[in-house]
Amino acid sequence: MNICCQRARHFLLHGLCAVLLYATCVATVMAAPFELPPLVTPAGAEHHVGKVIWVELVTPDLAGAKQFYSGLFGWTFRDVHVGDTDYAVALLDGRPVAGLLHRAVPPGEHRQPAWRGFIAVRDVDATKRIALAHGAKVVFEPKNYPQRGRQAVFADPDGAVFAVLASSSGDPADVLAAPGEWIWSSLHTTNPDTDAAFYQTLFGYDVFDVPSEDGSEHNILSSDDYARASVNHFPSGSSHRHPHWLNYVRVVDAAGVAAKAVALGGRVLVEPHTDRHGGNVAVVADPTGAPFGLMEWSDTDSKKEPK
Amino acid sequence: MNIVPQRWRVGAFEFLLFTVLGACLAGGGYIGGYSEPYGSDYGGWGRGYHVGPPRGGERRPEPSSTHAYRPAPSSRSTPSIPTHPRWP
Repeated sequence: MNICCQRARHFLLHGLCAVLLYATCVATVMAAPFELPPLVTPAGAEHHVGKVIWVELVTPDLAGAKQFYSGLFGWTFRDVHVGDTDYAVALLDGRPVAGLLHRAVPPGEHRQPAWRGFIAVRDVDATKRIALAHGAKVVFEPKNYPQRGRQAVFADPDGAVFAVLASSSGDPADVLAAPGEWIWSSLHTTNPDTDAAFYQTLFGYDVFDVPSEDGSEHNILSSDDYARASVNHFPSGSSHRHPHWLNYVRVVDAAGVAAKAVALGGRVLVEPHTDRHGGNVAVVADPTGAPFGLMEWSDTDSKKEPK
Repeated sequence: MNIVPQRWRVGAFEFLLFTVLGACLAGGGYIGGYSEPYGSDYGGWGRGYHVGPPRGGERRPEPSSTHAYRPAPSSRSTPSIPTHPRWP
């Protein structure tokens, strides 16, 4: 009887060890660190809370997106594959400018491929606490990534989705974006006033109301005495209004790049037109429908460097 | 006689168990996914609907005191984006 029990225990222990050994191998592969390149190389000590420091696309067609953005902006890509995640880091002149994350759309569901901006913070968890206390919701919980830092995704009280990142290598310097780099971000919402207050609470922005020809409310959010983003009431003619952020790539010729986007399978959502800074702005969508802006900014048009 | 191998087995068992638990807690891959409602409408972006940054230096009217946010004082002009070149 005792021998039987001992043998049973022996087999049970060996069986469990075999199962755990297998699970260890699987888990080790699955849990391999997801390594993104540092935002700043070599690491610096600059921090610019409130600045959009990274922009990331969620797309169901990573190969198609790489082809589209490579053709449009000359980006090259470095693939990152860990576990079930396919990701590509977009590079411009060797500098990381964006991330492209592949996510399949579940069958039967409508999901919006979109570019998401990451706003610089010093403490993601403190930001989360403040955001939740002021009506935001967590979309993706804070998580650390080696070399990159800690990040999380939230929805503001009106539902616009934004991400925050505490970069472990510091924040990129405040310089003029080169053509092909992200230059600007705008929030489109039904409540610009309360949304500006929400983001002011979160990031300590200075808020400037700016005059508009269309009569709706527009605000500029600034930090370190630089304009970081605009907050805009939806235009009166829009019918489908879900608050959202839009990010803009600097281009030399918005009309030319918009035409190229169409030739590459994208479409024009807003035709190029002159904006308040004197350059043209357009909104286009990539072949999967992810919208983004194109913005001209001529060096010679720069009027005044703020103190 | 059997104590040492049994301890070794128990130790190995615990090591594997904690490795699996640790790996599960650490998680792999990348957190992220779709979060925007489907469909985009950019109708109405007509003349005068300006979303871009100012050039800087524009004078502002006295801000209204009825905002939910704390407006920057009117003595401050609206700032622009950084315009320093990356390399001088």
